[in-house]
Amino acid sequence: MTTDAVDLRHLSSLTPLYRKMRAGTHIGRLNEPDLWANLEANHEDYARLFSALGYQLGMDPRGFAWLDEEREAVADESRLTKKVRGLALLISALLDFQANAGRSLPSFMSWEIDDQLLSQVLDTQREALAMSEMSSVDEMRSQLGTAVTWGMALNVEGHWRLLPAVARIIDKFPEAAAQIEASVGLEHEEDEE
Amino acid sequence: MSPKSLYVNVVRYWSFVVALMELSREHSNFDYAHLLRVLGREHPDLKGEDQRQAIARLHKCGLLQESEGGSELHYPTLAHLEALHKERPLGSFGVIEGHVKALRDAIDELAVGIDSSDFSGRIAQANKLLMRQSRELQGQVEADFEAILSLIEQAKSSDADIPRSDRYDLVLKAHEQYLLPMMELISVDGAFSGYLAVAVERLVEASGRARRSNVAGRLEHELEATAVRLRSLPAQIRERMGRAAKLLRPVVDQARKHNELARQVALIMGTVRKRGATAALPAQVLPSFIRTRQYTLRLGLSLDAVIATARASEAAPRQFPDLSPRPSRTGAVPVVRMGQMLRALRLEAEPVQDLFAWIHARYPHLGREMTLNAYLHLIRHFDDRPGRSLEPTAPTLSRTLQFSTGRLKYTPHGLKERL
Repeated sequence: MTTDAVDLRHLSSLTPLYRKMRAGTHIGRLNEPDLWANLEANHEDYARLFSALGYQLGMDPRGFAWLDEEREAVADESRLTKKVRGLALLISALLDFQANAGRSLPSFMSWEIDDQLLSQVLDTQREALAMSEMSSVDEMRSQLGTAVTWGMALNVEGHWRLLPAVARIIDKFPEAAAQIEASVGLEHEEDEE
Repeated sequence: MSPKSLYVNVVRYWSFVVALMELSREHSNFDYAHLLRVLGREHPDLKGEDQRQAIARLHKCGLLQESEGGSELHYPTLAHLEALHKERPLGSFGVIEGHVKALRDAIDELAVGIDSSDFSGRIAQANKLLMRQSRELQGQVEADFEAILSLIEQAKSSDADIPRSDRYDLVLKAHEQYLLPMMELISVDGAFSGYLAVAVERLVEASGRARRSNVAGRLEHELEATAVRLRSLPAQIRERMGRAAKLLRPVVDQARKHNELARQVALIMGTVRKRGATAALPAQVLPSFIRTRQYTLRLGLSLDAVIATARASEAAPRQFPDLSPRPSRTGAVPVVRMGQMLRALRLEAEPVQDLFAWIHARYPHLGREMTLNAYLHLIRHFDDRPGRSLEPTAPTLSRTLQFSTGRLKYTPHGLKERL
């Protein structure tokens, strides 16, 4: 602590950055270009400052950052996880629909997500989306509103665009799929026994 | 019909003409309304009279011709456009293998010719075969290179007519069934280079023998020319295929990523339907980040205190008031003198392992914010004195202290030595 002095003169965006990040916003090149520029230029100082307070500053080379803390310290985990799970489910449903429509999944940032697309996704995944209380286009819009708050989507003239920070959710899908496959494998083994 | 006028109008209405060329595969001719529709779609800037003038201009220059109550594209122009738009399918790797086998057969024939000194027969024939096969092989490689470029363009194109997944499938097929075996074949120590090295040796040998045997000079030069060509052929093919591989690599990566992700989300969605969202997306596979205002007060105060300290702001009082016990008053802020704390620290028998907890235990009447403030001032005090420092007790450890106004989580730091 004594040798880790942080020169705050360079951290000109500290207050707005901190205010947004503590609310869950992922700061990125596209949704907060000015804050991102200051954060990227001084990320080591920001990281040390937040670390001194018991927080971790996550930086992704794809152009976004977020603030995290140890999970066991998070109160009311189930409520918070539920919202993230809802968004992860919506993203998964969107990706599944677009893959079936022959669209490139790595190009998710170029999609225009409007009510028509949401309606089509809802029609094909109604049963699954209902598991996370998304039974109407309005509820899906509300979920995308959360994504906007978290810096994972932008609302542009009546439609949404996904931002690079969505990759934080998509990056977890291989792990989720692997767990599902492992659990199915275990069930098969138990059946055989 | 003026060729110049025809050419000018082809260029001027290029997208309309190309659209008519594509529609000509299904329609033998176009009625006037159909022409207007296509023109409107391809050139939306043209309206009403401009459209009619454009169609009249195309008839006048001969690009559109009357046919059975409608119009059709000028046939030679149509054929030319179709040739320009001809798809270039990627050849099979088997075609390359066929050329390589023909080269090997010619090399064997050359060996037999050398053994029998049959210059005008087998050697001359094998030499012609080697030259022709090397040209055909190089031509095929060039065509395949162009086809790979087309595949890459298609995969990147925003054209929605062909599903992207189909385009990705073509890219993956080209990579796995053509480029990978090709790269193996043409590698420096691969079979192809070996065959050609043998061929060059035999051609040089045959050329030397032809010279020594006073065979007509032309064959000797032809053998040498073939040897030169075969010597440079592997490097030329390697360069072309290396470039193709470099250009194809990002698209292949993207295609693989797409396919794998599509498989994963299908599995996740299936599991959600069968076993619920929590089973498919358990908490440990969800990203973690602070996402609530619940921590605002705690972190906000800590941060403000850090900022104030670093900026020597007035927000953190420099001189603490005399804190001899006094009756508690509404709105009074409990504080403690720096000198008091330092004296108490000196009286400790052992170095303090957790300075924050020590302040809290010693001065429990201080609230959360003033405990933090006192802690930060002590840190600053030690910073200004060489030889004194605070070190993390265990860098990965964090603790939580309960105050009447809430909890505070922190990383414990202790004094290295006793004061």
